[in-house]
Amino acid sequence: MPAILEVDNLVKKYGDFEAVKGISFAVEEGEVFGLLGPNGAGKTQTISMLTGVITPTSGTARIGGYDLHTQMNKVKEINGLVPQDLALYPTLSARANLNFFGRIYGLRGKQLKERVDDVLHVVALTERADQAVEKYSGGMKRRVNIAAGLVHQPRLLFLDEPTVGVDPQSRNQIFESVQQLNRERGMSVVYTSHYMEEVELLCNRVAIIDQGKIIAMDTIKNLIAILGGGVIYVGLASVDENLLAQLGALPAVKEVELVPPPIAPPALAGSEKDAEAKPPAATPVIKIVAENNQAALVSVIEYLNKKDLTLTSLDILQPNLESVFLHLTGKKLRE
Amino acid sequence: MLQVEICIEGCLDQHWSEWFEGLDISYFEDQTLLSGSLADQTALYTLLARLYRLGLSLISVNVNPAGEL
Repeated sequence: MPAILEVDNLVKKYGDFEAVKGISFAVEEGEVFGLLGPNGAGKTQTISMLTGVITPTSGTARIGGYDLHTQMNKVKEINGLVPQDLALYPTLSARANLNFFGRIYGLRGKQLKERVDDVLHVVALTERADQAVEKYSGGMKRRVNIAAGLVHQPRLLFLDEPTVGVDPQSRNQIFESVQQLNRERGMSVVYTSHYMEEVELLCNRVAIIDQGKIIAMDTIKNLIAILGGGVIYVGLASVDENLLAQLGALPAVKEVELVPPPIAPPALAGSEKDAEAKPPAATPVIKIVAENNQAALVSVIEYLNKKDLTLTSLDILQPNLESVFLHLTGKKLRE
Repeated sequence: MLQVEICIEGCLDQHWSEWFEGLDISYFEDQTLLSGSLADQTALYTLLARLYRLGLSLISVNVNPAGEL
């Protein structure tokens, strides 16, 4: 597949602060590509440069073969942007808002009406189309916001954190719209989020971005494979090189290293405790990357018992994008 | 004593409790949480080995020898 988006060493600086530090990636035609990272990682800055909202300090990109710097009018025909903040007129109806945005793109008459009807259908708001946007729920406003980015039939849609503050029903509706646009119309999508579950659900490939840099980029399957069968954090009163070597030789253990305690080891998945940071353990922590988490855990505890070594803490991480991010950066996505 | 919280995929019936060293069994969505105190690391090993042999998938394990989790 040819690339619809090729980004080459894009940089954005504000004085001495470098918000985006030389990002490069490509998105194939028909691909849903994820930019996953915590708030402030540089995702919105990157999208804003690629859609002409802000100018890159250096670097360039080609979108549909057109140059970002010299052919912006062509680029804007290909791009659709759904910004993180709502860009709607609250006292106007959804239909009136979409008519307005369609006219900006040069649509008129029958063609405009057909396009507005179509995008209202895509976001499942046909029935409520003539109601003022200010009467809508947060999720419905988000869906109109998405429709506004679609009205000119872009080939490449940038969705910037489209589910922030959205109720579960609208969130599912947004996922279905993205999947439908990609599957049935071949639309390419760049989807930013700090929710790994969304990226895992929607995206073919993912770039993990942190502090303005891409720290990993691959298919979700390959990214998760970095962690093998998962990661175990074992706290002990003292650790020496010999112990690390012995643990590294145990069955189902892939890698062993001494690390600073994770900032917020996960508690029960999905519980409120999951979001709370635990104070770091005061004792050394060994990080064990396992080929099989459970088999490695059993052999590690058996070994420690034989050597009469007492645990000071024990946590396991299942292999997913969240734990890949923790593995690569030492911090959680939603800190 | 070790304070433990072990989360397992799927909802296990309460009658499994005696298999799990008397830990409390509770549920969160489609997961089972085993929580409470174990006598020592040998008991922890026995429990983890049993879960592994039973083919039950661990979602999380948190062990704190000092006290509260």
